[in-house]
Amino acid sequence: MTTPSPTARLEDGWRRFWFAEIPPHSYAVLRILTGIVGLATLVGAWNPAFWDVDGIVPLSGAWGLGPWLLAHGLGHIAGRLLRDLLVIAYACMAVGIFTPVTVPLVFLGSTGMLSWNFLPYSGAQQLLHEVPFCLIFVDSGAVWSVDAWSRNRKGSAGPTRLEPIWPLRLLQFQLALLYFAAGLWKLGNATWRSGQALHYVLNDQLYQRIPGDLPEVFFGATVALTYLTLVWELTFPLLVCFRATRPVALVIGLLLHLGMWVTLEVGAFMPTVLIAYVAFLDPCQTERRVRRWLPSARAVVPSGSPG
Amino acid sequence: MYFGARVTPSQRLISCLIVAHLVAIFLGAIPGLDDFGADPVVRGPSEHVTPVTAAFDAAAARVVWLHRVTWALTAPLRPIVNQYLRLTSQFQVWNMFCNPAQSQRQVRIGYRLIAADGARHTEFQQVFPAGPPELKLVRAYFDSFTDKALAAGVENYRRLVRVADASNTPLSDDDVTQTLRPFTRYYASQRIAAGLPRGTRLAAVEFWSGTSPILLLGSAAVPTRQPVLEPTITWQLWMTDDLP
Repeated sequence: MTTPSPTARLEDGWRRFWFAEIPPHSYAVLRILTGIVGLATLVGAWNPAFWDVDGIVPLSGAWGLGPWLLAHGLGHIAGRLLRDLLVIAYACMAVGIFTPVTVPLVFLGSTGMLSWNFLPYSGAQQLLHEVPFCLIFVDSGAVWSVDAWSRNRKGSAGPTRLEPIWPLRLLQFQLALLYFAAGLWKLGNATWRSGQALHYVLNDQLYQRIPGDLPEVFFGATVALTYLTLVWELTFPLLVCFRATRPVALVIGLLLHLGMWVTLEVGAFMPTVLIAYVAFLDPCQTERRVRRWLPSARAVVPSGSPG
Repeated sequence: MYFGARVTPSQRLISCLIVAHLVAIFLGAIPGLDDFGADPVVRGPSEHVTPVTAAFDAAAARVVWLHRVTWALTAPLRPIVNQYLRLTSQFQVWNMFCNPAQSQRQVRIGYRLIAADGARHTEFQQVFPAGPPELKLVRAYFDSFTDKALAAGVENYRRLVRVADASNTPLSDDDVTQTLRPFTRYYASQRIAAGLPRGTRLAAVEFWSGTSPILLLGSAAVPTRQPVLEPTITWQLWMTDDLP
C-alpha cells in the first residue's frame, strides 16, 4: 500500500473541509432566524425619517438619486417602497416562500438598504447582510419552509438533498474574522488595555438599560470582564478551530452577549450576532436538536424524507 | 495551489472564489492608517499601570507595527478589494465599542425663530439620547436606531476634526454640511410641521454637541483620575444651517 503524497493529502483535506455534504437543516435555521431578525430590524427602523430622502439620510445616500427623487416628487415614496419590499422579502425568507429567488433578493435588498442609509444600523447589520450572501449558494428552503410543505403536499418531494458545507464555512470564517478584528480594534485602545472600557460602556447613558451609575462594588468585575472580552475576541478564531475548545468559545460568547442584552440597549445587535453561531453547531445534529427543542416542528413544517 | 483528480473542475472554480472572497474580507477588515494606532499612548508617570495593562500595552505596540507592515504589503490589492466590498456592501469595519466614550454625550438642536415683530429667540430641543432616562424596554428599541444615527453623525464629525487637526488644515464647511445637514434639515422640518406661532418663521437650525464626564468609580485603583461629583454639560455649537 502506497502512502499518499503530501499534496494529495492536502487536496483531500481541502476537499473534505470545504466540499463535504451536509443536511440542509443548518441552512434552514439560518434562513428562518435571518428573516425574523431582518424583520425586527426593519420594524425598529420603521421611522420614515430613515427612508425619506430629506430625512435622516446622508446627503450622498439614497443611491445618489436624492436630488432627482426630490425633483420628481418621489422623495417620500422611493425609500418607503424599498422598506416595504424588504419587509415582504424578509417575511418570505423566514417562512421559505420561493426561497431560491427570495434569498438573493434579500441580499440585494440588504445591499440597497445599507447604501440607501447606513446611519441607523449598528455593525451587526453588516453581519446580518453576510448571512443571505452565504445562503444564496444552497437551497435553504429544502426543509422547514412553505416550499417544502408545498412540495410534500403535492407529493413531488424527493429525498432531501445534501448541500455543500462551504457556505457554512464562509460564515464561520466571517464570524471568526469579526471577533478577531474587533479584538484588534479594542487592543488599539488605551481604555481597553487598562481594563476600564466596560466601566465606561456600562455607565454610558446612551446604552445602559437601567439608568444611573454602576455601583462601585462592580468596578472589579467590569475590569475582569473587559479583559475577558479582549482575550476571548482575540483568541476566538483559535478556540473554534479545535473541537475541545469550540464549546468554551461559543458559551463565553453566548454569556457575554446575553449579559450585554440584559445591561445594554443596542437594538438588534445581540440576536444578529448569535444567529451566526448556528454555523458552528454540528450540521448533522441540527435537525435532531431543533426537533428536541420544538417537538411540533415535524407536524407544522415537514422536512421531507431524509436523504 | 495544486489540485489532484479528486477535486472536480467546478470545485476548483469554487475554491478560487472562496479564496478570493476570504482574502477580500480579510483585507477589508484591516483598519485604515488614520483609525488604528494613530495616537501613541503615553500614560502619565502617576498613572497606576498594572502588569496586565503593561502586557497589553506592549502587545499593542507590536500589533501597530504589524498593522503598518500588513497595510503596506496589501496596498496593491486594496483598490480591487474595496471595489468588491463596496459593490456588495460587505464592509468589514468591526469596531463596535472599540473606543468607549469617557463622557456622556448629548445633542441638542437650536431653532432660531424670528417673530412677526422681528424679535429673535432660540429654542432648544435635546434629541440625543432619543429617549427619556428610564428603564429601557420596548420603546428604547426603536429609540436605539435614532441614537445610532446621531451617534454616527457625531462620530463622523469628530473624525473630520481629527483629520483636520492631524493635517493642520481648517475644517471644511462642505464636509461638516455633509455630516450634519441630514439632522438639521430633518429636525427643522419636524419643528415646522409641529406648528410655529403665527407670523414666526424658522431662520436657522443649530447643531449643538454636549458632553459631561462619566464618573470613574473605583478611582482609587486609578489615582490620576478625579471623580467628578457634579457633572455639568459643556455645549459646543458645531453647525448653523441657515434656512432659505
